[in-house]
Amino acid sequence: MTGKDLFIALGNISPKYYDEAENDTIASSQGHKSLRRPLLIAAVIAVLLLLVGCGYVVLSGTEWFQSYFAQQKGQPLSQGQTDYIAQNAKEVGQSVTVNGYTVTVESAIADSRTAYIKLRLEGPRPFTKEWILFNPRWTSDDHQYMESAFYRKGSSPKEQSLYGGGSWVYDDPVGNTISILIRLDQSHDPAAPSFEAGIPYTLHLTDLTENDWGEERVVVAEGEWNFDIVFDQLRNETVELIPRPVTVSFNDVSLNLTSLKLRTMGVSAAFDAADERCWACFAYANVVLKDGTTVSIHPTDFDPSGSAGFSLDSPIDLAEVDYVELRDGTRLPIP
Amino acid sequence: MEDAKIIALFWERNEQAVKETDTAYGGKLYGLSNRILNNREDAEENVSDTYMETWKSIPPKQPTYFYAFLASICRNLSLNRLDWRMAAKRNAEVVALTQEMESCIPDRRQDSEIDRRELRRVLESFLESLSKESRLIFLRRYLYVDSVAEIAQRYGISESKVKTQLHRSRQKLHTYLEKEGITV
Repeated sequence: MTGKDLFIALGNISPKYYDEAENDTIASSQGHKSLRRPLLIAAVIAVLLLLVGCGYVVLSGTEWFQSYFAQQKGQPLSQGQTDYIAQNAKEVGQSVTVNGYTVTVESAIADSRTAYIKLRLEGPRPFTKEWILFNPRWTSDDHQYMESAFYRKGSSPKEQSLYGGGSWVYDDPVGNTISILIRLDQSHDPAAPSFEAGIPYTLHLTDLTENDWGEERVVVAEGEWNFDIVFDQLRNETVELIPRPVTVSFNDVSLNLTSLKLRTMGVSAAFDAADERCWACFAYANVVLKDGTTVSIHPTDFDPSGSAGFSLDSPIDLAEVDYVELRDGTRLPIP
Repeated sequence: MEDAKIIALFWERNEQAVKETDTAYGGKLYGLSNRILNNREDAEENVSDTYMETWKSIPPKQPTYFYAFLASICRNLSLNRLDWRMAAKRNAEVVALTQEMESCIPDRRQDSEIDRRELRRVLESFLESLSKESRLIFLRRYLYVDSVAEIAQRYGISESKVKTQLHRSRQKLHTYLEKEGITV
């Protein structure tokens, strides 16, 4: 071993040393206490005080999704966006209780390749842990989310991966109640089946777990929560933005983009096989609406062999779109 | 944005996570990478790669120390990317550091393999044996690749004190490795 090896090996030490060297000071070790932790505690207390007396406010699906997507957009929704959500959000209102924990599927909204399902979870005691998850029954290290949790009713569990790629979003807990949002997205896989209106789908949740950072997950309620969900209507309009292949680039990587299909809730891209780092070409892309506001495009999956999927921070009415702007400044107008 | 919220964004597979990470830590990561690579473009690219690796790692990981997690990835990627022969020609800081670390190795004539985990254990044990002041200075120099002047400025001490502390720590590491029977 050489000095170089030793220098490299030092990089593998515990993250706590990285953290210590980044945040601690010699002065603090000599008796000056850092204000950081007391300020953090004060901030937490302030938030808790704000929550005292607040009950869980039940909004309609339309109201909740309008509020959620406006928050994601960071700007007021356009009239077209507000109307889109009002027309397409579906109230579900199914509840299942297992071992004292009640899950209610409150509402859902979807287009042909992206679906959001809003849940309310109520427990016998307040939720205090940072992470509250249903056990997604891991199928591999790389694909963990909802692979075995959402599928067409009647299909066998082995076929469940058709609707993978979902995720969880939480509101802050209010007492014994917490909001959960599931996003199912298959924009990246052109071969994957689309969501269809009128078809019953099963949402299958197992084993509620909780943990704080650095802790092992603990199962707090073992069991299964199953729901049947039917999307009454699904918007499946799609606009192809690439009349002919274009090259997009970032830093020293580039890719030959052959298709970019914009939907109301997501984007699907096709391109010639590219370097793995080319995912950065799509970062910070935006849909620019005619009222001048922007909707961010977030990569959700990138396959260097030639496909990528993106979600939008909020649903759009395609009639309101002016153009899509990629990171390198390429503008793709609506044809 | 707080680390917990940024990590939550990664868990949501929300690409805003990368933007928020860049806002919070992009400058620091660039600095770390540039100190190792001594090349602006390589450093920028390496920071992008760091975000990519983080995107792949979270989930399933839930790092307790988020910046530490990022810095660890960034440092390792930077060292993987580094062209050591070119670095020697450019007289990069990192070459000077490896030469300093060379002095810690008890017997360079012997060529033995050491398990990576064992070496990590020994290094952590050595770090715990240092005073906090010495440890912080050592880590800033050899983990974050700070210059002596930067360390002196960071902690409000003289450069000569930093050099003295580093010299003593290297001597201690030499002794420690020898005591642990690591004749590397």
